[in-house]
Amino acid sequence: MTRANHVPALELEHVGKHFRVLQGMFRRPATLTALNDLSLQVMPGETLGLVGESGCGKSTAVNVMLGLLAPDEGRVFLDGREIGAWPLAERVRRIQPVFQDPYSSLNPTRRVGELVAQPLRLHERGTDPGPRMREMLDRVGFPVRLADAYPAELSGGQRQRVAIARALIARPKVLICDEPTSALDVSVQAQVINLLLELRAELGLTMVFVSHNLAVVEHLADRVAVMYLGEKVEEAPVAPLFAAPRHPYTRALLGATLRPEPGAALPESGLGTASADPLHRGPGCAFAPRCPMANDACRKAPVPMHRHGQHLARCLCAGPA
Amino acid sequence: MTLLDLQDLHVAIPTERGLLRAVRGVDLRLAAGETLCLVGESGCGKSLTAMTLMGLGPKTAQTRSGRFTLLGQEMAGRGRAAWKTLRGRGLSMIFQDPMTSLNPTLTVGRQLTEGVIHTEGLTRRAAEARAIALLERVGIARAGQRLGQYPHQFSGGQRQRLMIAMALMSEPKFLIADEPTTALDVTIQAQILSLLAGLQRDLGLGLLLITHDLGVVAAIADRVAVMYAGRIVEEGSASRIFRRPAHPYTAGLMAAIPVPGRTPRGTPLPAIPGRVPGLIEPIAGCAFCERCARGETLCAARPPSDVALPDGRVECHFPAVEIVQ
Ligand SMILES: Nc1ncnc2c1ncn2[C@@H]1O[C@H](COP(=O)(O)OP(=O)(O)OP(=O)(O)O)[C@@H](O)[C@H]1O
Ligand SMILES: Nc1ncnc2c1ncn2[C@@H]1O[C@H](COP(=O)(O)OP(=O)(O)OP(=O)(O)O)[C@@H](O)[C@H]1O
Ligand SMILES: [Mg+2]
Ligand SMILES: [Mg+2]
Repeated sequence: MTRANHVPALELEHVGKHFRVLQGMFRRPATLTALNDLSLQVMPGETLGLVGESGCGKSTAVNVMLGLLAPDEGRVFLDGREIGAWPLAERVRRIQPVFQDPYSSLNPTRRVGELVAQPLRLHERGTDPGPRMREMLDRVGFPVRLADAYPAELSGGQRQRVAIARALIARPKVLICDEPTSALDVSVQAQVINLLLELRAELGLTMVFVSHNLAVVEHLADRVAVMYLGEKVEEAPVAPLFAAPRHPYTRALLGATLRPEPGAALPESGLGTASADPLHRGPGCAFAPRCPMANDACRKAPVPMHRHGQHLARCLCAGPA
Repeated sequence: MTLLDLQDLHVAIPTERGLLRAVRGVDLRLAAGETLCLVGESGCGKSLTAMTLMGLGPKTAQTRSGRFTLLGQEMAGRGRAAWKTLRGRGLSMIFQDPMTSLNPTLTVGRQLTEGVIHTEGLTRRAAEARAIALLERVGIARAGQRLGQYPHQFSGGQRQRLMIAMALMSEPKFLIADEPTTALDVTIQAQILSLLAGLQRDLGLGLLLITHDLGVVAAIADRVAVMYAGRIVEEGSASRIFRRPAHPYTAGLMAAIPVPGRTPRGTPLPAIPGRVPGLIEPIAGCAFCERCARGETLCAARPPSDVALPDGRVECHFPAVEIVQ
């Protein structure tokens, strides 16, 4: 292995991100901690699954990885070099996003063909992007006959395929997918996942894959990081993470997965009715207010990451599985 | 009580490439307290059908139908104004596109309360109290403090929950939910589904749920309608459709669900080969025929007729059922 193979394709080092939010006319603005001391490494060719509660900071982390949002603390590296140090054109050639919301992420005044070919115009001026654009649309299962359509004429799933085609056309090394298949039916989802698998093998694509669909993450990821309220609470290779989760939040998450078998009752998460509160964090473990196992020690001081075999878990009670 | 009785809905949209026959004869029926899940290929016309039910289809669309009653009122052939009295007064929708219902320039508190202040004459305080209670039930902490924020300050899933709360503000009898939980993690999804199930039990809410998540369908559907290329190709009880899908498209969908342990990790998932047909040229036979393993010459030539099933129907020349006489 060459030296380059030991440099992560993408690395977040102790990243923190805070938003100031107004709480009404007469109150002082509060600080909302969206990311807290988040460290992640993705090696070349690896796929990292990123899962966690809605609002836990996944999309914020994605925006930080893409250099679209500057972290308030910590640093971000792309191929060993700080993300801000890359010239823009170089950066977008290396790392491309597929965003969560296929409605707002596509410019409504551009036709599908132009949207998809756009990244090529930036790099390869002069050559006709048409053939590659059509090939890419076809590969993601988008009807090429609609290349002249505007986003408003497309269904949610069709728009998401356009977003994926656009991200892949310039053959980036790192692909950051934020919920790329949530708008797709399961058959098109299978096509898109198969496409990502193919491209990963063919181009050695490095991927960060954010999803609420745990079965998809389990199918695609090599390693999985679980987040709760802006922090990483568990990380492990995919097999042990799903087979023997250590953190109680990971367990609750896996326990709430719906299976496609009729007649099963809705799962009980065991987390109570309180919700994660990003505006008021206690001094201790962020999950303690909802944790069925929490004790006084958990509430008193921040809980560091501990290694348990192949798992890293931020929990005082994460004993052997 | 029948909340919806729709027969033979057609929606066609003029496009630069010709007239797009996006919805081609859809029948839907829903009773109070019932959950009907509408599933199907991306682009098959689910949202268009739902928007038409709300009186919000594209302005240029050509719409016609047979019988069309909504909350007891005849709607066939009536103009957009007829829906004004139903929306916010019994009929409500969670939109797939957040921008349809969330205005980026107004605080979420304002957006949540505006409707009921107008239709029910609630005071701002009473409306805000209702909004806060609902936001807490959809899992948004310190809702009172977040009413003054704007939509972009919420995460994707939080925005989706704002829309759910907004749709429930008017205490609807009939809720159309278009992909309401796609941006939610599974624990919050379960919380939302129990909230909806509770409303059905307590208030007889009728739910038309459009979703790609067959786990959600399995958990809450009474009946399932499977749509393909603008038509409902199969309809039946949830328990039967999952165990014995009659239409080859339904069977293909079921097979494509990633189930851990069924397909080895990192290997291709079974997807239905091929593409949906364009709906500008008329289709002579079965719209699924080119992608179908059971396809025969007959299928390309003649549209499949309706086959009655004990719990519903299927339209296919060669359904995987013993045909009931
Ligand atoms: N511009 C902003 N101003 C204020 N708060 C923000 C802003 N953007 C995000 N937040 C808050 O930061 C937190 C993390 O949001 P983020 O979008 O990263 O969550 P997420 O994990 O992607 O959630 P989801 O799964 O619902 O998409 C949320 O509580 C959100 O309300
Ligand atoms: N305003 C419009 N103008 C032109 N074509 C449209 C318009 N709205 C929808 N369509 C087309 O009508 C068809 C049905 O779209 P619809 O949004 O109903 O699909 P859907 O079943 O909801 O798909 P998804 O599951 O991806 O959301 C699609 O082929 C789409 O391209
Ligand atoms: Mg997000
Ligand atoms: Mg739709």
